[in-house]
Amino acid sequence: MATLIKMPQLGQTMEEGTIITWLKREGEGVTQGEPLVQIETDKVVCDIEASQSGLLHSILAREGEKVAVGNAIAVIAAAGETVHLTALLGPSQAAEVSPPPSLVRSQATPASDAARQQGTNVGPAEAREVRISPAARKLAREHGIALEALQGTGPGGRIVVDDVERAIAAQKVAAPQERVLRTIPLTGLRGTIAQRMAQSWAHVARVTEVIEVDMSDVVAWRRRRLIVWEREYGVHISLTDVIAFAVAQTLRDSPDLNARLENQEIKVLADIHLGIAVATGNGLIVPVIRHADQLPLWELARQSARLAEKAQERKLTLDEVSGGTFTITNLGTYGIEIFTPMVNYPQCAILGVGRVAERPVVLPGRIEARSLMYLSLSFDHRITDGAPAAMFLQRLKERLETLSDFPL
Amino acid sequence: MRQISYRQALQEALREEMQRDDSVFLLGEDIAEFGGSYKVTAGLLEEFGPERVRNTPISEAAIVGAALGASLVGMRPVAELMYVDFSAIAMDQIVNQVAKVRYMFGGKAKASLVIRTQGGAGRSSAAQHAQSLEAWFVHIPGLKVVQPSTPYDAKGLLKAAIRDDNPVMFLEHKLLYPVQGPVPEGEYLIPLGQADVKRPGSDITVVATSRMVHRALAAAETLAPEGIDVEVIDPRTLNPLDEETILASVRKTQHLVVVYEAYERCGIGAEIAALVANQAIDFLDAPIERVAALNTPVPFNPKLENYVIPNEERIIAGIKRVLGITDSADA
Amino acid sequence: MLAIDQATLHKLYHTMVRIRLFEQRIMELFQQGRLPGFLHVSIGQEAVPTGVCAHLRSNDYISSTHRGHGDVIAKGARLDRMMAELYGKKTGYCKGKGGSMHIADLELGILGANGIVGAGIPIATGTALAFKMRRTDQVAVCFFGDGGANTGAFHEGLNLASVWNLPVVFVCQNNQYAESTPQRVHQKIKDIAVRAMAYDIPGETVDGMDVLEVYRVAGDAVARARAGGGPTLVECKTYRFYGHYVGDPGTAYRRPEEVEEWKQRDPIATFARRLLAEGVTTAAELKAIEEAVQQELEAAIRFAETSPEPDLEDALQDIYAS
Repeated sequence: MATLIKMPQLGQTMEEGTIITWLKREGEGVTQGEPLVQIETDKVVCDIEASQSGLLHSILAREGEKVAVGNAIAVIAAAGETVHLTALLGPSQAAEVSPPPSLVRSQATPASDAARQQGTNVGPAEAREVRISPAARKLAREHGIALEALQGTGPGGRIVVDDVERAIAAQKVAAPQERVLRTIPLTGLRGTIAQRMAQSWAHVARVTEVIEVDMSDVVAWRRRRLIVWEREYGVHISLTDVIAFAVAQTLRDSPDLNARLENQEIKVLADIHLGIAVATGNGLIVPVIRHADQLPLWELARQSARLAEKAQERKLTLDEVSGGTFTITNLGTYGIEIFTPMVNYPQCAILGVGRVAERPVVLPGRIEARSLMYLSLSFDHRITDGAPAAMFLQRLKERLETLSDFPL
Repeated sequence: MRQISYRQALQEALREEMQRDDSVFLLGEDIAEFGGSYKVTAGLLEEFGPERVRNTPISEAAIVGAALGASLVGMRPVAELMYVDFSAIAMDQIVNQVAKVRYMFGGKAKASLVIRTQGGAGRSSAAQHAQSLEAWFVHIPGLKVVQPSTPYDAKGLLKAAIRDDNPVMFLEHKLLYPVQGPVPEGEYLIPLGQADVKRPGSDITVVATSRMVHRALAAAETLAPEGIDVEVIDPRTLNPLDEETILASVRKTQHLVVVYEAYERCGIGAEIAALVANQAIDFLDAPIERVAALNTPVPFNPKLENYVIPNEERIIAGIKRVLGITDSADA
Repeated sequence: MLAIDQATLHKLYHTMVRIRLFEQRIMELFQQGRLPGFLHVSIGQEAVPTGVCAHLRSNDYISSTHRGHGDVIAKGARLDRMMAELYGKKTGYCKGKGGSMHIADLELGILGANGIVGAGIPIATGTALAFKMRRTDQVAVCFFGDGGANTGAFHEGLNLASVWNLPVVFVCQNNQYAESTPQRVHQKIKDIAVRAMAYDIPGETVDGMDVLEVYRVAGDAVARARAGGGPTLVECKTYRFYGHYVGDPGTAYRRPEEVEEWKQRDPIATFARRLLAEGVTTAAELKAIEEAVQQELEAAIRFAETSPEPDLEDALQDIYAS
């Protein structure tokens, strides 16, 4: 029984997704649950799995194509089964899909030739008179070989597979110093990060302010309470959780930092949705804890742990990475003291957390070893100024150093 | 294995099927005492009698129509049209009646007849006795069309055609009748709709039909020492066509030439080329070439006749053109 | 007429009425736009298939023409399945895929109406050949018109049937016109039956408006074929009261006076008068027959109208036997 694979609704606001990579080819066997295709929405990349076993009978959307949620992207059928596409798809989508399905990206078809006896042929319009066989064109595209640079040795002087293969080999030979260990396409999550960082760099008037915080009391308090918390709430509370909790409370006092610049308007937001950056194997991703200021510490820690796990398993939903108003990013575990994080556009500010280290501190009449940490706050100077940002840091420092609002 | 001729292979098929099923009978012009103008039915009158080996008047429309009428009430006639060129006289019965009766009657009728005929050039039989008209029949839904090239194929396919409940146009070639080939003793059938890779190869796919299969094989042998490895595919049945065998071959070799003796225009090569261009375009490393008869009536003069129908030289030239190989002679 | 039993006489009347009322009703339906395609009605010609098919068994076969509703009704086709076929419905004799000109039911011995003039002649010949080869006493009857008598298929078929002495009766429904062309323009002969001489088979010309005459001559021909005496050509002179197809008034090529003359010889009306005059039946009985047929017709229309259309996939079914 032929079934349609459709673009899924991955998040409430999702309207369309982009096909990134087909993991299977037309005609290939698939087993139920096997990843079929990688798709991407605004922020999330995920695999769509085969809903049943069989053959991937038809691919209906090409790589790079955007497909509306609910529209069919593939057909799985039993081997040898005849599939009536128009009946399966229904009139509205059937009109969009051009039978028979094929993996060929849109190409202009060659015009008919007059001098057929000599084997000459006019090539497709988009190729600016380059004469090339379909197989050679596909190969060239896959390897990023520029067609204009190729000499054709095929019939009528057209470029054939041999010519492209030679060019590919030559490319490898021409640049011996450049040995590539790994090529990562700028698609999926990496592509999104690249795009967002470029955006942030281009637009945000970034300033970074650094403040030193004495974390000794927090560290001691946490050490005392850790086991109790685990027993009572079943949750392991990290230092980042503690800092996040403090940030959420402090944003209540400094709402100007919980803002967004949109359409020439600064919106100071009422709700505090805290994003905590997670480094995954694929790249940095920021799940969001909603209404972080209203959560008790252990609940915040619980949500943070769950989201981090989901991030590692690439199971985050679109809603879970959307709507953040402020971001925290911690490089302290990697030994970093101070850094200049990029603002998570279009938010106003991002707090970079550095290492907690034992350092000598001058106290009245003595020098003592204390646990010190630097907080690096980057903010968008279009939205707020140095003083409000500094005040936020001061309030945060005070909260952490006096443990106010913390459950003791 | 024993070697018998194409003609003998057909005769054996007819004999065996007539022995096996007494609803099988033959009708056609001069097929009884004379044994058929190409001697395929020789000896069958003596074995089966005039009831089952019936000489008809020169009445192609009646031959086909009567075969249809008999098949509608359960017989399995094998009608012979002496030359495929004469099928034109019977075209209403073939196209409008035989091919469509099952469909028009909502699936109830069984047109279980075989129409055997022969075509092809090479004997100076001239324009009205030398054509290859398979494309006419392949075009019509409801007919099956078979074109065997070897004695082995001829026997197995004719037996299968007679047992098929569908109408089958069975197109023989007049120059293939004396050609010998290995044919096993004992019963065998070749299913309709199954192509045969007559010669496996890796550089180029040549799909050829009927007598052109032999010329394509000869071309392949000539080219082998030049390092060109030709795969020759014989579809055997033109409708239903074994598309997957052809497509799989083109995916492998990335080059296609179709060789057929019919006039080039709108022949079976056009259909195969369209199929491949549609379903394997990404695999083609060169345009598809058709090597076929020139678009002219077949001339009487032997030299002209040989010029007009495809020969080994033209097949080789086509292969080389597709592979982009220019000999100093052609440059 | 007294040599024919009353049951048979009633049956002859009943069959002609069935044909007439069916053809009239579908003309109305067609003009109302409820039937697709073309329709060729045989009103006026009812006596011919009625008189011939009265001699046929269910396992005798007929082939017919584009104007074949009367022939297939006389052979025993059901009105509801015919109607459904004309409506193009799935429940029709041909699942809606054949239409008016291709109605067929092999189980009833109907080799099909045929859209090609003359094409049924070689086919019926072939069916008769099978009967002879199998040594049954079945008979094939081939209906065709004056136009069909000029085709190559007619000559090839009659010649083959005659030389092989096949059990087939060739019935020419000579309605004086091949489409719009009068007989005197499309052939030199006056009586088509003379062509039988060319094939050395018996040929008879009959008044096709007189069902008893048709019955008599057809009876002889069918008996001859059944007994192994070979083919006969029976020419029935008849007339269609309407044009070639529904929508053709016929006035471009026929004088109204001529049509009126033939209408005076309406086969059903004249037969009814005879039956009444000879006291074989009563007016009430005849009326009852008509009413029964009307009811059958209305039921047939209801059946056709409520039947489902074929599915789109049905277009690709039945091209080949699997």
